[in-house]
Amino acid sequence: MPRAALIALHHCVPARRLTEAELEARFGAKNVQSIAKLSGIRERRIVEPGMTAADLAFAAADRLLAARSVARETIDLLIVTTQTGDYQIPGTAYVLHERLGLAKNCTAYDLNQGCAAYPYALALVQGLFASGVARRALILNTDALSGVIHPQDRTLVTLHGDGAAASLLEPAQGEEGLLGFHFGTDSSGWRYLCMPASGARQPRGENSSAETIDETGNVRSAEHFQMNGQAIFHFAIHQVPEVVREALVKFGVTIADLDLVILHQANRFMIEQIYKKLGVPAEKQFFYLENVGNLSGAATPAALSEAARQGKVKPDALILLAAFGVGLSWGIALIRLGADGLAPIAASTDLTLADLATP
Amino acid sequence: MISDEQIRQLSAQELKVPPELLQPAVVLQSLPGFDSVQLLMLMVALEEIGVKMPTTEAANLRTFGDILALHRN
Repeated sequence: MPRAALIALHHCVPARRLTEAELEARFGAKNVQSIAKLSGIRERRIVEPGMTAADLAFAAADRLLAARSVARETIDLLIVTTQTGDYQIPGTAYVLHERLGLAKNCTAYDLNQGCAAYPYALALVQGLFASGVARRALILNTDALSGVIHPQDRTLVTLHGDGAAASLLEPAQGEEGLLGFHFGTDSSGWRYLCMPASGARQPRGENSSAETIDETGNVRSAEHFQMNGQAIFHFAIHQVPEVVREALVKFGVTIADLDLVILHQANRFMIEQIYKKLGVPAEKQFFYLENVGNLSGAATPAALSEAARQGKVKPDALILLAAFGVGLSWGIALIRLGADGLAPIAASTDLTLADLATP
Repeated sequence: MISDEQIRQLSAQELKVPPELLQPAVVLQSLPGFDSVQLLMLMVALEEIGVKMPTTEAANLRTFGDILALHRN
């Protein structure tokens, strides 16, 4: 069965920085410092008016394809994962298919997934390669949650950034490739990460925009993304180590066999708790959130991309990715890189409004 | 066997409040200087002394009585 291999990866974040100083002015220094101590996040990258998640995805993909001299007509599969697309109809994949100049024989569609998106998209590519649908795929993971978070909701504003990652996959030629997947769902928790008035169940109107203030001063409405932080924290530090252990058994590998373990970059304390429970040594850990924030569906591939940029991804590396979030869902992927490793793209990871204006 | 008093002392330490404020009916968010991060740290500390909770109960911790109920159950 043809196996897909990860050939190249690049990521992109907005140039606009949301700093601690700005948040301290908004929420007070004590609150901001307390959250930062736990989250390890000091700065978030957020889109400015006029920039969307699709723009970030376009920039990441355009730069990757240009740097690797990939002929666009050779891409026959485009999967876009996002919760913050340009339109409810059509999917963002169609907007990006046109903008990237992809061919008519390129299958394109969206996957509505949250923070766990990357392993799900990788598994889809693997399946579509195996079924003969495609031979060269582009995955674009992109989210800009800053636009759907209430600016006075410090439980989310302080944690989230916006970003995108672009991955190029081709059929494996040797031992490299996507070696295994492990997925699961605990739908009893879907309400814990939810934007209530965002679809048909609760249409937007006068009532949905009414703001509520909780006991500690956080403001939100039904039109904003909402999180039960206690539930998500609990889910992450209990469920995730358990399912990663299941995955390791299923894959027939141990932590000692792995070169790198990359987790969803939700907050540093949470990641450290999971690493600790799994016994992942420091040299196999990686963090990419301090200066960008939690990039939601783009967080896991962006972390892998950044690890490669920092020279921490060796040729032939065996990497475990574990992502988790909305649903509640989790996805774990085992990846063997090729002899070329994951050579970083010699292009910026920042996107400015001026970049968008450049043809 | 973990006692209510142990839970109270640990909670007071993590939530940075005097133990006597932790009466079963007290709403955690109404405690002076309440910080949601402290509650997350308390959840970790409770687990370390053997108090387990399902995610649904973690989602609904509202009063100190909810915390006491975790270990009693």
